[in-house]
Amino acid sequence: MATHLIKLEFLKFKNHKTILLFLGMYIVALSLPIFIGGDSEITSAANQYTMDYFLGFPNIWKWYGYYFSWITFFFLGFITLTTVSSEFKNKTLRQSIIIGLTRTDYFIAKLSQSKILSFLSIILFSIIAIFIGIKNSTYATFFENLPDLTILTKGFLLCMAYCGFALLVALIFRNNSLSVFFYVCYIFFIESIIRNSLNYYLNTDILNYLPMNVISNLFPMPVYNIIENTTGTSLMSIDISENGLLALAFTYILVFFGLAYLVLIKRDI
Amino acid sequence: MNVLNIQNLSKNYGKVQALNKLNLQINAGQVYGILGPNGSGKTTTLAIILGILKKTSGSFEWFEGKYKNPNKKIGAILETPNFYPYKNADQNLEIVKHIKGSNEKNFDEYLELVDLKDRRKSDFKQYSLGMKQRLAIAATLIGNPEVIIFDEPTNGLDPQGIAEVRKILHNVASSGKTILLASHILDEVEKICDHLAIIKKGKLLGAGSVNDILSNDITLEIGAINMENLKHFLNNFSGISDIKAFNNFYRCSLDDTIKIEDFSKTAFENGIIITHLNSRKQRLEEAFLEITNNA
Repeated sequence: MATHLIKLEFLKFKNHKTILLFLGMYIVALSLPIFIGGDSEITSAANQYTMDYFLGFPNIWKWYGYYFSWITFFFLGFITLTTVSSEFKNKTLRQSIIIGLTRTDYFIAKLSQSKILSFLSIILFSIIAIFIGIKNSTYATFFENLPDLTILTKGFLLCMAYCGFALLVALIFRNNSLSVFFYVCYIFFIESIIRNSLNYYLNTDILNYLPMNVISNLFPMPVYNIIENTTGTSLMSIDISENGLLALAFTYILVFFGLAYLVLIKRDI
Repeated sequence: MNVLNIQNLSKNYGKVQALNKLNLQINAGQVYGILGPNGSGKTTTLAIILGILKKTSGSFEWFEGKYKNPNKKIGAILETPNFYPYKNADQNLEIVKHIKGSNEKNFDEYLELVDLKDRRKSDFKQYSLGMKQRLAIAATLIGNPEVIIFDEPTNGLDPQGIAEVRKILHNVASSGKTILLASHILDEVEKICDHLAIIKKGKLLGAGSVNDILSNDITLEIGAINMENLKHFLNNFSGISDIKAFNNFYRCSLDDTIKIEDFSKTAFENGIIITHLNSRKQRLEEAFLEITNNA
């Protein structure tokens, strides 16, 4: 069943110029860090961090992971938003259901699409990170520096979370411009405003566990680690173990896809 | 076999009731028209039974519950032809085929029927509205469906497009498949359908075979040298009803038990010299207006 639905998604979008453009830009954007690096030194408080320090093993996973999280937020999110909203615009989802595709089929197709995109993204992420790491490490060997399972899991969850959130937003708004606007605004502004204002008024930090803050903490800004190591002060906005973070991210993914399914099942099309 | 059974189907949009306890039964092989003015609930009915809209109450059943996913046994156009604009006819039909799970080797037969074989490699977005509608008709035939649904199939088309689409509909209708045609164009329904339902403001006003809906009475158009005398005569003639005055004739219904020649002879014996006489069966338009105006 899933294979049949994946083939259907492929048939639908293999000629879609915007999606192909986003996919191409995603790959190019992920590959760009290959072309940076060299012997230059980065000025820092401790004046001890060279480019090799950031782009070599093992720090490349953190630095490139952070870069990967931003690029993925934009491109995987936009690809998902476009695949859904274009079907509403052209009324092709409506027609597909009329001729026999069930709403559950459509959901499974989108879930499978998200899994495949996430899986391929993680493969690309690993290959590029290893390539940059080898290029910037004098001692590195390939087998010593394969990514560990936690990094791969984090990357996969990050991709799935952005795909799931984008799917939910697109199914609610249906219109491409509105969906993109809300998707970007929620992550950049809306959640931050809710989090900071309510935390302030309620004198708590519980709202730090809102979804996008949790997802972005899968690959936090690596400079936090440097400052933490230097000053001994924690800058992370959420205080949770690695496994707890993964579990929470997984829960949010279930919520995104679960709500998306409910919206799809309950609403008129 | 009962192909579609609708029981007390209702749909509300807030306080607006789009459908009000609609009941409808359609049997295999019928060419069934759903007739009603714009906004009467035709498309809402079709959208509910095709799974696009959620019903507020009531129920419907396709094929006596024989199939798990009945939509795969149905070909349908609802309102507008909907396809991927960046794909050509073959690619779009391939997607339909994939969803239906059918096994056509190619779409030559269908594209030939709708006269699109020469444009099969053009993107859908380059098609005229008539071509789009014809491609939609071709798509309804994929997977050999048991029922085909057309919702306002000639909407927005120019006269030539209307003629082309009607010709195709006639061909499809003569294939023996069950057809459901929703339209507000009476002529279209009268020429294609053998059964029909009339709905207005979401309510079923009448349903049955076209012959049942149309009255057996004869519609007479009659003019005379002295129109005043004619009027007096018609008012007093037993078997004449529903008299309406026009410029130089009256239109009325004549009981089907009375022969025209007897009517004409009696008129002459009463001193009425008839200058214009036209008799015909009741038209669907007249029956429709009679039913909807009385509702």
